[in-house]
Amino acid sequence: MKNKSGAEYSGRTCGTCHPAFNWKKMAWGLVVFVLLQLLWPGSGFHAAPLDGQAEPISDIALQKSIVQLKVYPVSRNYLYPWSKRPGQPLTVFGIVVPHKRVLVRAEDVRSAVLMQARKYSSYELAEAKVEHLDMESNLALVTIDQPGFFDDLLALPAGPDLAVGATAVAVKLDSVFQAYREDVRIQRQKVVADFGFTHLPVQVCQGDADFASGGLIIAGHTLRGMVAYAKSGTMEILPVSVMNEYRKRALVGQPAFASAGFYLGSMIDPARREYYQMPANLSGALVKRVLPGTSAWNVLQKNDVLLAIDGKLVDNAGYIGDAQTGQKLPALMHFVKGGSSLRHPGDVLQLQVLRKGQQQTLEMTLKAYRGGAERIPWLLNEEPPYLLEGGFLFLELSLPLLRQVYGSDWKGRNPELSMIFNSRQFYTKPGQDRIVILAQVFPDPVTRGFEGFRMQPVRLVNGKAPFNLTRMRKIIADQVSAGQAFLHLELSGGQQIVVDLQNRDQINQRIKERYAIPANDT
Amino acid sequence: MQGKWKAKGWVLVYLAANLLLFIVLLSASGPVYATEPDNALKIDPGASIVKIEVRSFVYDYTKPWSEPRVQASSGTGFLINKEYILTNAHVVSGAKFIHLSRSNQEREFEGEVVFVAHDCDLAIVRAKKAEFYHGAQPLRIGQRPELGSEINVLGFPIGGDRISITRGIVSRIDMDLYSHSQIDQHLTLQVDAAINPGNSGGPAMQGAEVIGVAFQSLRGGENLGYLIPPSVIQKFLVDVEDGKYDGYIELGVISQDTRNPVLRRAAGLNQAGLASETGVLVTGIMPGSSADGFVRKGDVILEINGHKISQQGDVDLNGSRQPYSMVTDNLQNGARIDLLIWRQNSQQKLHFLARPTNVIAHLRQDYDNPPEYAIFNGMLFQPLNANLMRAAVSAWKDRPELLYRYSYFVRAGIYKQVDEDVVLSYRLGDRNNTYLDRYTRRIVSKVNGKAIRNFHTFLSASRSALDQGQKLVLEFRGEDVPLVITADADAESQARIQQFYGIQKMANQNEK
Repeated sequence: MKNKSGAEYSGRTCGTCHPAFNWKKMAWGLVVFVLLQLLWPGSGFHAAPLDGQAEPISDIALQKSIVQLKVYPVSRNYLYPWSKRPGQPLTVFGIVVPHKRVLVRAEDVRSAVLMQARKYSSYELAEAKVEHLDMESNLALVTIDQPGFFDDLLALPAGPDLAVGATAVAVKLDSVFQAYREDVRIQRQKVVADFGFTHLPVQVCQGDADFASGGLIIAGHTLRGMVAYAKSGTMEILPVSVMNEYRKRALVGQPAFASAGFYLGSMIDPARREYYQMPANLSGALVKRVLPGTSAWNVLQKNDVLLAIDGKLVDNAGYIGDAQTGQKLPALMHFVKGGSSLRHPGDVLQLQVLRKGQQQTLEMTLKAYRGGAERIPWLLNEEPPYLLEGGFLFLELSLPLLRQVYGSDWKGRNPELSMIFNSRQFYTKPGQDRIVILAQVFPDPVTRGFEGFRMQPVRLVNGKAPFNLTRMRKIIADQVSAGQAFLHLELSGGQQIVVDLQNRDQINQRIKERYAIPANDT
Repeated sequence: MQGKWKAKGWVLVYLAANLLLFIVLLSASGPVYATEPDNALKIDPGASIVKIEVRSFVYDYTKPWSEPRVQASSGTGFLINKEYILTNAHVVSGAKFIHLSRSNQEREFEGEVVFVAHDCDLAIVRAKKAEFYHGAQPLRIGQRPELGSEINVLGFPIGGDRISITRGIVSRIDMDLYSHSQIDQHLTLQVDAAINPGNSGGPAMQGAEVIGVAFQSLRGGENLGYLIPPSVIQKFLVDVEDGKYDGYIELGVISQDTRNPVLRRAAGLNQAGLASETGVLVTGIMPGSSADGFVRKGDVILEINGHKISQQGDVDLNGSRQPYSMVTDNLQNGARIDLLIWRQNSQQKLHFLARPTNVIAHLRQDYDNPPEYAIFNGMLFQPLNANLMRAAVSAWKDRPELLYRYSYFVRAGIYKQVDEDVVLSYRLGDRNNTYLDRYTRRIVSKVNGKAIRNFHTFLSASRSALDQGQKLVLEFRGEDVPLVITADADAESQARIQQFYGIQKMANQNEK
């Protein structure tokens, strides 16, 4: 039903697709214009009446607010970390924002080696650069250095965030900047983390067209959000307030969003409540894990019961309910102050907790997440560390590596690494240790017989835990300078590997030449 | 309807063709007698080959409280003396009724299991009445056949009721997995003769001698049938001479090859006086096994019972190359094992006695006992053994730690923590356990603060706490928050759960 009415509406607004209809439309527009002029002389089109009833925003206004970016990414082969492979070039649309910047999704541009921007008024390509990129919020700011590029561009004014139930128009532009418009209705709000641990509010609606490569959400003549994610008829919209928040703070080099850094479990089960000495008249949720380096670190403790945030009661499943709107938000949504304005890093929250049966009030200063919680990272930067020694390649275990080697169903393919991931993904206190993996065995006389040992964790290096690649490099350097002839490795299954240190330079040179590996590992 | 008739017609044509083929085969066998008289079949099948029909109990490990299903199956056996009929363990596993008949007998006779050896898939059954043995002729067990030599496989496979004889050659001799127990490896003979369901337990013959027992085939390949060789049969027969089956001893050495030149140099294996092609590097010792306490991690085993071990881990056994573990595979409990090892840059001699280990017993399929389980407050607890794993593994894909702890039990040293894991496998919905789904498919680590080692310690710790009216605080691996079951809740839910789900017994514990 919704689709049908949407089609009707888009027929009415899409002036460019149906010339015959367009004429009729224009005639009606003229009538309306004349009537308006008669009633309120001088008001013109721009005195926008109610949302959804307004005259549609013109294509030119949309065209001025969008930049097309051609992105040339390179993909990283995590099993050959020194090698790059050109990826499929992609075209994404960025949103023109004040201060001559373009806002895009971070994942679209993070591996770009070249970016070229084009605007509606020209077929020329101008080089674009990433100025600020934040994978936690999956947003990035792009600059275009060509003088005068922004002269005929104009950011759309920002309206308030849309409420649940409100209608808006989703707009995307094609390669020649012709607009495609689709009616959408905000169905619900939720809180998601695309990558990492920073949870942001998004609004969910349905959409027919593929908005995956960027899209605007317009109501009246104002910007209300951008399409952050679109798949099989569903769109997730990042509200305009979040976009603005990111832009303002990124421009001054500050992280925009805080991450709470704790996980809650329910306190519904009566036996569990009794075990944690939870009085029947209290509601709250159990703190199951606190991630190092986050806001909650050194504030909350595992096994605390979180009762309230800034006086707002947390229920037994970890939600904060709003009695007036009836909405239930995960407790993490305390980052949303009332309507939709966000809390900032640096803000202080009052947490009411039950700790060992005693009620306490704690202060938690919000911080942005800047790493520190993950022993097995979900994302690797563009130059992941590796260690090449004696025909063996050692890597630190990461999610991208697991995905590359075993595919998307990697959890069913290697029970040992899956178990390590499940139990050791996060640090329980601040740490730098990683899971060191023997990732590759390059065929050579010195590696003969060890070919079957790949993708196994390294348990010991000369009797010591390798800790991470930096420490392992140090252990090797110490062995070499002490004049040791061999390096002994033990893998998690007990297998022994011996590396020849006497002929080290010669072997490393031979392997690098044969397998075209650049001179220095990182 | 028409299609059905058509199909029947085709069956008739097919049968006729088979008959023709059979006749051709028989007439064609004349010259074979002339050229290879030794390998041609020289027995009266009706006197020696036995059809074994079995009704056995099969338990559903995902619903361990439920009544076992009765399964009908059939296999083959053959007489090895005046009384004993040799067959496969998997033919008579869990058998409640056994019926025996030879193809020249007009009636069937009741039988019973005398010995069963799951680790090498052999069993001995006998008839309860002497009448069965009238006119019977036992078969002699011969020597291991040569690679490439011709054999005949006799049995009662699917496709008809009468005895079937298929012919082929020995196409490979190798150590292989005995799939009945899922973990044991022994010597096998691969043959290209057709081996089909029902052939199991039947003899493979050369002349008048049994040179193997048909027991498994490989699906996916073509003509890959497997026989249990005479050495494994003889070992079983010697083992049961004392009236009970003791089972295989475990050498217990986990090793890797020493092909790598750097490893050989670092271990000093290239020193003068040491054979340059020898040795396997010990990377682990199975606890409780023969080698435990004698062989150490880091040793290089050069010789075993006088057989030189190659750097790839092979030994020369009567002219064929086999894995070195073959040397001790046929030893009886208490036999002496001699090793020549390389330790700290010198050769040393070690000797110790062969013994079995029960450390990996729970990784072997159990066919004889009903499943062990306990239900507290509607939560089902079970030992994580081979039977449960086989039944539930496809539903446990989201819990890699279960698969990991099971399949890396020895490698990752999990045997140091536990004898077997206990898993909360299922929640029987009840008002008392509504909120507890998060704990299912997790491994219990502690009961009231006490680490548990196996299902028996779990059950006794849990029962004694509940019997004293205490609450049960269960800790799980990979789950931060303990599960709490109060004695009241358990008692209150018991009758209800029994009634709702038709459960007779809330726990079963087998004697060890």
